[in-house]
Amino acid sequence: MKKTTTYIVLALMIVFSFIACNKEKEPFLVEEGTPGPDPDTTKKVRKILFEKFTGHTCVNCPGGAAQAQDLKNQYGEQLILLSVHAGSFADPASAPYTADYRTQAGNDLNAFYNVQFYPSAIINRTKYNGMFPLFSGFWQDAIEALVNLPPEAHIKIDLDFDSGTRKLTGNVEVEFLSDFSCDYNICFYLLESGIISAQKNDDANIGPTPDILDYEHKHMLRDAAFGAWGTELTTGGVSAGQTTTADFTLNLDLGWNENNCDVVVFVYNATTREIIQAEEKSVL
Amino acid sequence: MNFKIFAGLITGIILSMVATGQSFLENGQVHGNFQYDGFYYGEDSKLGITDSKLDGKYFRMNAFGNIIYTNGNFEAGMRFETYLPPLAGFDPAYDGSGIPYYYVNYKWDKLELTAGNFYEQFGNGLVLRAYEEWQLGYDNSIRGFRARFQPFEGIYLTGLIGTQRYYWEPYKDANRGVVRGFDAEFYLNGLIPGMADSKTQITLGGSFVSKYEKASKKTITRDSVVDTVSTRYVFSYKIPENVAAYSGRLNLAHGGFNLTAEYAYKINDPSEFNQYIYREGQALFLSLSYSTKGLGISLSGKRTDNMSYKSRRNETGNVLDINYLPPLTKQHTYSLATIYPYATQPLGEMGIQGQIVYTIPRKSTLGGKYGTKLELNYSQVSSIKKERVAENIPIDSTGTLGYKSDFFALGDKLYYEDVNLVLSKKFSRKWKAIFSYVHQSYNIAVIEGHTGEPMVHTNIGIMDVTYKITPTKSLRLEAQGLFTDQDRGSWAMGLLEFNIAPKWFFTVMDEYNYGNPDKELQLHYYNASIAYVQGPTRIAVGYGRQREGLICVGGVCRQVPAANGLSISISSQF
Repeated sequence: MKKTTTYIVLALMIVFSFIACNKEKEPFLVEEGTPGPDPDTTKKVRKILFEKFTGHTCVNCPGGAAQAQDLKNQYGEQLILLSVHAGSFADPASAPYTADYRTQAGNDLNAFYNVQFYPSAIINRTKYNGMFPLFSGFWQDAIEALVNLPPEAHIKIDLDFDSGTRKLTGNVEVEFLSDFSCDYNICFYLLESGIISAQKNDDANIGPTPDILDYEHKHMLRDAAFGAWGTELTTGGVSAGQTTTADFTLNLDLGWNENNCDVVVFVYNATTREIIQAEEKSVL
Repeated sequence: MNFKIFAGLITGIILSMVATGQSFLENGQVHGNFQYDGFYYGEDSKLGITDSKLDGKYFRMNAFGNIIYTNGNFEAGMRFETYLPPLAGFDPAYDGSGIPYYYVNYKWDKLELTAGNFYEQFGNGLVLRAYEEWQLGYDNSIRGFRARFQPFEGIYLTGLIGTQRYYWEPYKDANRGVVRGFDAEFYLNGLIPGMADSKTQITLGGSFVSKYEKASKKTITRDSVVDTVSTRYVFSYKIPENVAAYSGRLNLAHGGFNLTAEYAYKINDPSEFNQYIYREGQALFLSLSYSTKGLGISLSGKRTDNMSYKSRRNETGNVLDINYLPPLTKQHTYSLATIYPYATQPLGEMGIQGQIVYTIPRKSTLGGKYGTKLELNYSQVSSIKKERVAENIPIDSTGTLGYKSDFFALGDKLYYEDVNLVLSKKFSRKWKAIFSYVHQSYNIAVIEGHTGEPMVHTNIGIMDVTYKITPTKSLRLEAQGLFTDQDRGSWAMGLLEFNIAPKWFFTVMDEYNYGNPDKELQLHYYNASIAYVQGPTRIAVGYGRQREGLICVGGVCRQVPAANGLSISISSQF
């Protein structure tokens, strides 16, 4: 009896630690081909807003930006990148970090989502693994969880930029593709790319360390019409096929290059703040 | 197993035992412990703490209570935790309350079974260590099943399976890996009759750990240029779903000598932490010590190479660690010596530590009437040497083997160096003192990620004098100075503590960053506190500033932000 017990226990222990391992052989990367052609822009697909929180004295942020760009290369039009400069790494500091890229909208988002590590990203303002701001390791998984869901709305943007007054006016048409009983808000953000200035860096594969003096900042949040939380779009529910319009104006500072500016528009659930659809369009 | 099922199981066991006539409640014992840490945060413009930063969360608290019931060979326990909201510097993901830890345990002769949560360590922890450190907000307990078995005298076997704690997130839909482990330890003196009386004690051990984690899609795009035509390709990573690690260890003791050695190996484990490289992991830990009356000498060394081992491959924080890499640096306790603590670098480091403790005998010329204790400690940690796997592939390039490294090749980066001397002396029945000198070289660029900042070199002097006024009343004075030209510059610190033993402690202290290169930040970090101790219960209230910095325990660190306010701490056990 005693022997039987011994054998049973030993067998159980071996089962616990069931020896299994997958030793991979080179090549560790398997080619899947070239990225597909750009999707038909008239096709209604879900587009994901990728809000990355960053700062010019954050040494890991160039690595995060490279990773975000890599995701953009893979998901194409379905991923819209936005860089929010906020938190202590975005504070102006001694030269060459005297620039101030913070915005009121960015500060509000940073505080609301309690962003504590940089770079981090919020994907469609939807929790993944119970969290809003995500470490870079979770970015692709969080995008994968959303990107193939059927679209719930479709956004069309018309822009008109007056180069004399530098006033940008926009008209947006939102078509809902399902019935909804909740309220929706809409946001209009202005982004600028091609901004060359200093950025701390610790990844020698990306650029010089510890400072990249001519770093190109992309997708930088510059302004938001109606602030970080936008304005009301619908109340009391909508039905599939219903179309709603909204207008906005933004004034471009003289220092912003309109050739590098884009407008991002997105619609979100007023209660959960989860984004259901986003769209992007160049100012010029 | 969720808590409702657990509670049902416990109730079932109790009822069945009561029904079978066992005096289950009659012989039972209940014990436990509690701790409550609260902080009321105030605004402090000089520390940069503004109303908007506090975001209305002026009061924060962390607390836990453990309750353990034992009855003969049966034991069941649980821990309640609450963070409403968590203290500043603790991960906000802890926000909330609940019971993250509960278990039942039963021992039959040579077999012990645990269902629920448990902590465990195989050897030195190089392949598996589940533990909890309240001060760090660190808890990687395993929830599952564990068996310990001693089939013969001198053989100890442990098998386990489970998933690790991740804040409050329950395990579901394979949202993290499953950890499986087996450990065998052979105490040869108990196993071999001829060695039972040997003065040489030998223990051999071996561990095997495997994690299973479902692979999710991970791709990368790379440009390929052929004849000036650039083409972009998408590649997917081959992700191993089962990652194994194993280790072998030896402990040999003879007289005052003790030798511990452990080697661990891990197969390819591409992860976010190592930038998805496929190199295997290795770790070696060696320690030799000798002790006799009045003298202790120890010498240790270690090498780790790509040994981060987590049960979720895209995690980079201090969570879900399966293994533990013991530090080889002294853990200082005096406040200025803790400003620059060493944090273990799991991706690669080589370190040594030597220590001599000698007590000059009492009634000798140097020892004086009461004897004098001297302690000399030296440690150094450096990078490992890394070479390219191929000429055109940068070191640590994702989707490759990462790098080549000879096992004993030292890198060119110093991470940390610490030499310190401590002299403890009792001068009379009323006076005693401890004098310390510490010199540190601290690679702030690597340890804190402050890329480009120069190595911090510190010289620290510490004096700790106690004067016994009466048998129950004493006064303790600490004076410390940290001198450096780097980082935040030099510091001075003074502390005065009045004790009325065994119940009351009154303390005032100030840390002054007088050497900060930014004059606006040449601040005083003052603090006053009162502590009351009654048996196992301790209540402490303090008011003042807390400087920002790292808190490290066992090489694992947490960033603490600057704070100003009122703190209260209560702990007790029964």
